[in-house]
Amino acid sequence: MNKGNNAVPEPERRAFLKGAGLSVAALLVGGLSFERYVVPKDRGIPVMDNYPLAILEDPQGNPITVADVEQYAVSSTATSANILVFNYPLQDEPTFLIAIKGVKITTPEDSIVPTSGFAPVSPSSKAPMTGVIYDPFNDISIIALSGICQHLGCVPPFLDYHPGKSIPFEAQLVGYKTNGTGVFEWPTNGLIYCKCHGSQYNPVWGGSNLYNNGAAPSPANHSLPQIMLATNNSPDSSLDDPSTFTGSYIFAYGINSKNAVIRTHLQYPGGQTYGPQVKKENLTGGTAIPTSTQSIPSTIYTYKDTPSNIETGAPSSFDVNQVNGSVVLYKTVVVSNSGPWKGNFHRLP
Amino acid sequence: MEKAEYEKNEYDLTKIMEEEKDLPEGTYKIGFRSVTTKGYRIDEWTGAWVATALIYQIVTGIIIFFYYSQVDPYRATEYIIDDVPFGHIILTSHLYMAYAMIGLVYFHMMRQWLVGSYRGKWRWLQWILGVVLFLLTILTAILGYMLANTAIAMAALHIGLLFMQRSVLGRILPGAFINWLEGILVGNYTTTATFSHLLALHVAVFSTLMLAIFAVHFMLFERSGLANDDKTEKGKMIPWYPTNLLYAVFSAIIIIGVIIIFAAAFPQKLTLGYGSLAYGTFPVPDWYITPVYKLMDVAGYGLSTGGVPLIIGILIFILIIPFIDRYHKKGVLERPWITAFGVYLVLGLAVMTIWGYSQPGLTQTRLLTEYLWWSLTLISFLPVYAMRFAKKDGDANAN
Amino acid sequence: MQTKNIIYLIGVIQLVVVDPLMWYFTQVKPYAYERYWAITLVINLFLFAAIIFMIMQRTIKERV
Repeated sequence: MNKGNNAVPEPERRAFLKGAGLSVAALLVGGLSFERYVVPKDRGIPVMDNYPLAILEDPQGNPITVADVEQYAVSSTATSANILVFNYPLQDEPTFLIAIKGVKITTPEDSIVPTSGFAPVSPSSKAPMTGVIYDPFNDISIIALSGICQHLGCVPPFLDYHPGKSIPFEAQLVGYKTNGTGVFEWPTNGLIYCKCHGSQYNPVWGGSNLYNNGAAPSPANHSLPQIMLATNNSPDSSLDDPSTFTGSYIFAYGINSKNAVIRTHLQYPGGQTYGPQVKKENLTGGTAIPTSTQSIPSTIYTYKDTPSNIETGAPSSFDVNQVNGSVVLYKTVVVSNSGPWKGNFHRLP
Repeated sequence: MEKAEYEKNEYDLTKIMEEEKDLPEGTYKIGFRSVTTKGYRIDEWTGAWVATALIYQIVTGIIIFFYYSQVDPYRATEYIIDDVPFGHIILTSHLYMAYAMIGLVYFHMMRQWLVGSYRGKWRWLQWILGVVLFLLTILTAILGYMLANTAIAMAALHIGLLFMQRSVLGRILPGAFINWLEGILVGNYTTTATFSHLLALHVAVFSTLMLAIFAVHFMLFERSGLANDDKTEKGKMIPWYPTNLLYAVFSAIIIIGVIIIFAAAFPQKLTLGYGSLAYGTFPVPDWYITPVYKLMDVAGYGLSTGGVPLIIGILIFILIIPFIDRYHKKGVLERPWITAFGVYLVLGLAVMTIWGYSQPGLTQTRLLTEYLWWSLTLISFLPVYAMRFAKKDGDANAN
Repeated sequence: MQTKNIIYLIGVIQLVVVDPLMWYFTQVKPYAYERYWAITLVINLFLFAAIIFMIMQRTIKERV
């Protein structure tokens, strides 16, 4: 103890210290209210009320057609694929646009785990999965799946689609064989494989997670959410002829999370709802995609499992985002790793 | 002539560094110690090297800060590399010095671990502050690595946010605590807000904290003196000024020179920007992240039951080592299990780094994991105890 | 040669040989020779370090 001349006598010093301690503690308790400072006013506030109706455009600003996407369709013998990505529902939320030749993507069976190894379920006579564009004239399925891995949120190029003959090196390390060579062969139409931690999803099963059915366990807990697509012309040949259908524009109008927990924006745990189409949810913590100058289609068409094959209606009947009671058309740019759509989904033109 | 009432100016500046003898009573002294020649052994200077790296990072960091922009971080980084005079050299050397700093922090820590200099009057506190500095170094490095907005950096940010949300705290207090922590890290999560926050944390918050704690860490060192040189011998002490200063400047120049040579010889290539698409290729995380990345899944028991508790456990163990080292003697072989565990940590870190770097995203089987950890245990503990036995045997024979 | 003279010699070499090179690399073809500039900077620093080393040796010897 310092008993020097400048030291305050013991009893008084103790009182001083106690008082000062109390004062500092009070200051800290009051100061805790400053924690609001780090939470901006617009944090956690949805940027729109519902999922937007968005027209898919190329980087030059022209709407893309079904035929444009079909040029990028991959077959089971493809050795590489162009990555096509657009942002939906908000900016910086990459979504894969995958076109697969010779496959009609149908709703996966309720039991995601197949009984016969992990070979894809063969296309049945069932109607295409809701929200998938199936071109019956060319036998091509176009599906949009979230590009955010449901394990730890890796995005393209870490997560990407490898068609039948392009098994990635990392997948070979965990035991996948080229197809036709054994039990854990790379599926005919390939997988979406995440190189961060090896999550595997099958696009032909509507983005279902493989869980423990692959060569190595898929660490993701959920399947990739599906982004619902529609066209402005009908794929039914009794209504529209093939060239009209393939020339139609593509619209994204929502998210199907039948097999998935929505965590598109990597924000807010607990915002998890199961159902055919999730609405009014998780549109927080980001920037809205820009609005389009194109005219809003009067009718949009999408496949539906039941009761009839095609669901038709005005966009407002699809529960899309509305401002002051009318539907707003947004736009989202499809970018690719090469070709005329080469671009960056984070820094758009 | 009348005598001046005021003190005369002293213009001989070399006298500033003279030893202060008669300070008034009650003065608080922060001293720079004199040491004997033993103090000039190279392994006593590991801390000075880390301090050199810190100062270099601050200087080059300020230079880079002039040209960085959080509005378009990737383009700003490209601009610094391509268009700012000396920008490529400075940015690369900032990166390489960060690598060196982390390496030197590990080296500094393991040296004190093996020598056992974490015990003594204020040394326990110095050790604890050192561990805090170690964590701050790693965190600052990761924040700096995110600032370029590369694909790998954003993967790290996304994974970090998800870890926070899925941690025990994230599950118990999602709104109150994790939302708040995320607010600090990314604001409202738009690109500009995210990078403004990351930038402020990197250049101001974490670096200032690091500098402040380093000042206390260094003051405590000057109070305690060298761990192995606590005997003062009259007439044999070498004054702090100028020898000690010269030694520090000399080693600083060597380290900085080597880093600049590396930066000139191997300029950094900026990896794929966030949002860019490339088929079949992907960047790998920086080497100092890979051991943590690998440890997370190498436990083979999942993140929540294996990886995260394992990392936290190792950190707590390192933090409390001054209190659990109960050996009475000082030597390396006199404190066998501490030494063996130190060797185990060094080997584990090296193996995890190399493994993580070569196979970043692969989960290993539990059998391989067990095999790896038990072999490392054997390799580190067996030789230490064997050498201790041999030494005792040798001493017994000599007597 | 005396230590004192060696120190002067190093200083003169820095001034006459290394410094003009540093300037050359920044003035002729600006920005093209940054890597060589960095190397000459390090040479300059190391020559300075050599002087520091010699002074340090002297100060230690003085005491022991």
